[in-house]
Parts: sequence; structure tokens; C-alpha cells
Amino acid sequence: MTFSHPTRRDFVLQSAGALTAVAIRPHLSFAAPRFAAPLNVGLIGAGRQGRLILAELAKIENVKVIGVCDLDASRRDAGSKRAPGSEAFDSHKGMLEKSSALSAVIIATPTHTHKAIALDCLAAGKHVYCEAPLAHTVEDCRALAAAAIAKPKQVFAVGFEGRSNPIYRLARTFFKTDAVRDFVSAESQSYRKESWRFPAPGGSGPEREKAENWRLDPDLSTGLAGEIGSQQFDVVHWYLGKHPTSVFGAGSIRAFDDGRAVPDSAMCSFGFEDGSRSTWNARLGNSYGGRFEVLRGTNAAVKLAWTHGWMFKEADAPTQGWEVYANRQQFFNDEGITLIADATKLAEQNKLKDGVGLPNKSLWYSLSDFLTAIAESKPPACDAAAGARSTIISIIANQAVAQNQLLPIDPALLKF
Amino acid sequence: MRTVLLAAHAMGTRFELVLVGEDPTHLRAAGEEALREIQHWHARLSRFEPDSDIARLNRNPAARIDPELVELLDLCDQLREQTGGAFDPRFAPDRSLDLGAVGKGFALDRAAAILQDCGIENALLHGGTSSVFALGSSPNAKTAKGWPIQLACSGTPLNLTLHNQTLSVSSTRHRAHILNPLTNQPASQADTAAVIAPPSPSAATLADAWSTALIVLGHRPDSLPSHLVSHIHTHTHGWSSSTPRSPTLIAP
Repeated sequence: MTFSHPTRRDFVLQSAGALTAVAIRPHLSFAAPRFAAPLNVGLIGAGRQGRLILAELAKIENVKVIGVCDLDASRRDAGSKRAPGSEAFDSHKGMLEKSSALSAVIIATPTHTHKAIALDCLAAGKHVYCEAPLAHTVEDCRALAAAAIAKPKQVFAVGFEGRSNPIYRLARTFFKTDAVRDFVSAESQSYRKESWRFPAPGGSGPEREKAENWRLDPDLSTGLAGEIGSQQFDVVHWYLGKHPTSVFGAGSIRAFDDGRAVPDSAMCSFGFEDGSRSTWNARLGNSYGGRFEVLRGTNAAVKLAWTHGWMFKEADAPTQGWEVYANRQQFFNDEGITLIADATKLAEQNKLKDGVGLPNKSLWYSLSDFLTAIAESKPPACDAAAGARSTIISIIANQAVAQNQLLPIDPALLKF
Repeated sequence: MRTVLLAAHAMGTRFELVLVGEDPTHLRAAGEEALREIQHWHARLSRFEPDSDIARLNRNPAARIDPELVELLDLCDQLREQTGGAFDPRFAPDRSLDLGAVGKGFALDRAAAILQDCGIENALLHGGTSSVFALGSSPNAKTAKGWPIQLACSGTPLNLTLHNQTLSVSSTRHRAHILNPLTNQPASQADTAAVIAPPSPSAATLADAWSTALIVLGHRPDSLPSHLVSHIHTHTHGWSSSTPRSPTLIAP
């Protein structure tokens, strides 16, 4: 992978009184997608994530959700109501057969059902956006990626959202420049306070409860590493341009000892061929610190927290000029330079301070990137091969957590 | 019977759920789903989060929004008309949208619907103690069905029992943040106003909007629907309560 090396000219100072930000280069600006003709989309899976997807799609012009599919009648009806004019289906095959006008489908079903649904959608000639992780087994990931690669005229995007997030894209331009310099290590974490157990409708019985809680079924779940960590692993590996060759994992049940077998506390340490390491921790029993990724270089660390990003410079890092005036935020003894997407545009509008956080949800950028890829016949930010690689790594990481072991990651599994 | 207590920070306050039932694992799962719903609406309705729907609308009034938000904004428009402008989500000097007066109630309505879908029959939900949704009864209720609530004010506290009802309380005590949209001055007619609403999909939203309107107006207007019970406290007259239609009010 090659990284661009921003020169002094790439950093444009925008002064707004005491408030100044590092401006990003124009190509990183993320404009709302516009389509010449309406794009008909179908949603498969109208649960929690499906509902978020419908809300974000509703914000995008010329995108029409014409089909909503879910096995559960109440979710199906609620989803269809959230997409006025759409037809409700109880199977994805029914929707694919009846909705010839569909251009694209978005899959937001449980992870272990992705492969069968996505293969059917590809066979029906649809563009596909599949939520991450891509699948629950290495074999499914590879089969799905191979099928997508064999259909180059169809866009296949995987919902690893960091790759289309403007702050993450901005921060990545700094990575491996003099601003951050040589990679030292990466640490990421995802801490939250919740049992990860989801309720079944009242009176629906144990079968439904089990189906709702596929995340807690060791045979179906990719665990915390897959369902939560994979988004963060993808960011780290996308930044580094390389993948780990081994992973040590450990896990335990610390907070929710309710008969579950899937750990509610997990850690992974990834090893790379050059000896460098990245670590990841996840907890369901305590939320302090939340979710972020830190990538350390010899000159600075970059901290990414999905809607916000910062750079923390070392005292001995060379001064590049622009950072003297940059917008800063204090974190106890450290001072972070705020990374602001679209800083130039916001400064022109005197809205720089308003724009410190992203103006849209991370999901919006990911969906917009997929739809733009269709409209402009270009690859999505995260294609099937990239999505499969990050998912495969997370599946092996989950196995390492379950076994409390060091496991190799065969590079051959990541080749497509 | 088991009781499970859950809480989360959202909308600038602390939401708390007290859930009563046989299976604590199911109670927690249902309660967490309800809290996720509250946080979902916090993320969408906050005017301070740049990626919220309200922030988007304030940046671009023509921004596209989804049907769920359209429904809420339509309800707010109806309530603005019914209250004669005493509740006005566009009251800010720049006419920007601020759903702070009804956000907690709306989130509680959605959260309570989830709990009911999950088969939870007895629960008390509140956002910062000012917006309350009571389902069924407290496990400690001995004689009267419901959840006992005490309204503090500068005078005699008001003791209520809520049973499948919502309560919203607005107060100018210790703060003068409620501006009268009709005069642009701090609301001063009453120091505490409470509205109790019977079950409906928008019960807590209605109660929130009307308790704000009553603080502004200082009296119960004719336009306040008769099925909504009101209690208004002023320094000079103490509590002034409308006649409830159901025998749920316990006199102080």
C-alpha cells in the first residue's frame, strides 16, 4: 500500500479568531450522493440495524426503498411503514422474484445468514451492501468473496464503516507522514455496559428467545471479536496496509453469568510479520472509556472515536507549522489536535466549531459510498475481498478468545 | 417477583427503569432494549450532536427526514396550535428547532412500547424524574394499584399514584430556563405544573408538551383535553388540580 505524503502546501490554515483547524484536501470532502435517476433499493432484515439503515436511506435524495423483507411480521410491517410506498416480504427470495425493479439490496440480517442471502442477491444480478461482519465462518467468507469477485459489474460492499468515515479518511492521510511517522503500535477498545442479550416478544417462547440471541450461540456467533471488534480490526489493518499473522486471545465471563458460553470480556493481541503488535479489548460489564482506536507513530498518536478524531504530537516531533494554530482539546495531561473533516468548507461558512463532529452518522457515509459506487461504476470503500479479510481475521480472533490460545493467521486465507 | 433496576445517561439527564417480573434475565434484556431506544432518540433529537436529525434540520430546514421524525414534528405542530403557542419547539430567537421540551416524553413513549411488546406488565420509567411512565404496579403496592409518586414543590408536596399513566412535571424552581414564547420573558405564572395522561402511543409526549405549556400559561386552558389531568402550583394559591376522570389521584 502506498501513502500520500502531504506537503506543507497541503495544509491550509483557516483562521477564525482563536479557532483554527487543519484543512483537508478537497478530494476528502464527502458530498451527499446525487443520482440522475431514482435508485430502487430493497432491505433484507428490518431489525435494529435495518431500522437505522432505513432512517439513513431516507436522508439520501433519489433513493427509493421499494421492498422490505423480514421473517418476523411485526418487524416487517414496522420496517415497511418506515419506508413509505415499499412492499413487505417474508422472504428475500420472494422479494428478488417479484421486484424486478430492484437495483440494489442491503443485507442486515444475523451474520450467519449473510452468505445464503448474499449469494441469491448476486445471482439475481443485484448490487449488494452486506453488513459487517461478512459471515460467521472462514469458508463462508471466502465463498462469498469469490462469488462477488466473479461479478465485477455488480457492486459488493461490506459495511466496515471506518473506510468511508470522513474523519477516518482524513486521519489516514496523516498516517505514515512525518506527522505520525513510523508505526509503533495500535490499541483499540470497545467498552459498554449491556448484557448483549436481546428480548423476545412477550409470550413467544424459548425458541424465539434463542433465535433472537444468536450472538450468544457459540455455533453461530463470531463473539465480541467478530460482532464488535471486526470494525476496529478493519480500521487498523486498513491504516497499516497489512494483516496480522497471528493472534492471541483470552476471554471470560465477568458481568453476565447467566448461563452463556460466549465471553462478555475479551482481549486480543495481533502479531505482524515485522514484529509489531496491535491489541484490542472489549467489555460488556463496564463502559468507562467507550470505543476508540489509537494508532501510535514515533512522532504522534492518532486517536479515532468514530465521530471525532485527534492527533497527539510527541514533544520531540518536528514542528510543521500548521499545528501551532490548530484547534485543540485537553485530555488530562495531553492535548489533542482536533481532526476536522470538511474544515475548509466549514471555515468558509464560519461554522468550524459546529463541525467538530461529523454532520452525519457513520452509517450514512457507508451507505452513501455504496450508492455512489453504483452510480459512478467504481469500487466501494470496502469491497468483498477487503471485507472478507477483516471478517476472517475476526473469526480467527474469536476462536483464539474462546480457546485462550495463540493461533496463526494463514496469509493464504486472505488472498483472493 | 424480582425487581431489576437499569439506568443510562441521555438527553442531558439520567433515565432510570425499574422493572418487575419473574425472570430477571428477561427483565434486563427488555430494559436494555428500552434504554437503547432512549439513546437512539437522544442521538436523533439532540440539537447539540452535529449528526442528529434536529441538528441537520437546523442547518438545512429542507433536509430530508424519515417518516418517524415527520410524525413527531407533525404532533409538535398540533400541540403548538392546541397550546396557543405556549409550547413552541421553534421558540429560539433564530427559529431553530429544539425538541427538548418533549424529547424525554417521546423517548419514554417508545421505550414503554418496547417493554409492553416484551410482555413487561409492571415497570416505572423516568427521565430525570420530570417525565415518568408507570406501567402496572409497584411490587410494594399493598392496597392501591400503581406506583406512588410524590411531587415536591415550594409548598405542600402532592402525593399521586400512577397506574398505566404518564406524568410530566415542569418547574421554575431553582431554574428559570422556561421562557414564555408568547412574551419572550421567563415563565413566572406558576412554579410547578404537572400533567397526567392516560395510556396512548404518545401519552408521555403529550404530558411533556402540556406541562411546559401550563408553566407558561399559569392556568389550565380550555384547549387542554379533558382526559389530561393537571396540577398547577403557584406561590399564592398552592395546588390547583383538575378533576381526574379516573380514581387514581390520592389527595394530599
